[in-house]
Amino acid sequence: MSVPRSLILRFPFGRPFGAPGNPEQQRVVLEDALIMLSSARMPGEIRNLPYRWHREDYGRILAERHGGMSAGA
Amino acid sequence: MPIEKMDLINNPETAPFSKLKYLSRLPDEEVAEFFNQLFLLNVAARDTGDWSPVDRYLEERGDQIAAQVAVPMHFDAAPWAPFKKRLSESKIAVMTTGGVYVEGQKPFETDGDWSFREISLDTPLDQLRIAHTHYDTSGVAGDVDAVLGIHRLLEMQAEGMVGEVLTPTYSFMGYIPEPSGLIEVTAPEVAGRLKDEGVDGVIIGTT
Repeated sequence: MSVPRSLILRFPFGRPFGAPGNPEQQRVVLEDALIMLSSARMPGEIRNLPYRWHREDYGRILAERHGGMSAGA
Repeated sequence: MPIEKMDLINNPETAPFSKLKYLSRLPDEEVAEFFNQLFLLNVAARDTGDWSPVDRYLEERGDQIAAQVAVPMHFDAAPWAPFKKRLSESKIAVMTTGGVYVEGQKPFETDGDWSFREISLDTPLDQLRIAHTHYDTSGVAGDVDAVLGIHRLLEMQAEGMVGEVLTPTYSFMGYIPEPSGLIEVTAPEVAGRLKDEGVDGVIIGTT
């Protein structure tokens, strides 16, 4: 079955937005999903996200995106 | 393949000939034809003592009937609705297949359930529950944003990155071995509600 837009994450099964208790990780993924929503042009487009589960500094990723704006809980 | 009695008892859904349950979805005349043919083969088998034609008939007809009533699981093209607005002016929903429900609601049936639950985004965290036995749910009830990013979405709305947020939103339990109810009833119902609410985009956390 094909869906209009898909993001693939190499996260453990059943953790689509990230780990429980890691709001920065969840926020990064949600932002990427919304970016894909507004930027995908091809029906059925699939994008792979590069994140390495716990081996990323998600706080830094958000800071780089938003110029130091805090995100998450 | 001969019927193994213990297979039928232990695992009726996957036992040989279990596909014959789909007979109930066929028109009456086809059901009558099935039993006529079975009766004739039965008479012949009694005469000859060779029951293998009956066996074969049941297996072959089971496959044919299942194929006849099967819902197509592959589509040539993805459905498509272009997203044209700015995110900051859009109404966004997050949904999940992670089996999230609210205390007081009927829990999902974990052996297969195509119903959905409404999740109000201001539900206190300690009232959120998970009913799903096909992924690791540890820690998820305490922080549903791992499967349903409602609080992250509310933060983005507060910061002006997203215009509006849908509440209540909808939660499914993704273990649905028999999906026809989802395809024919609940998915169209939720899609209709999203449309009525003016939702511009939906992010689904699949589990």
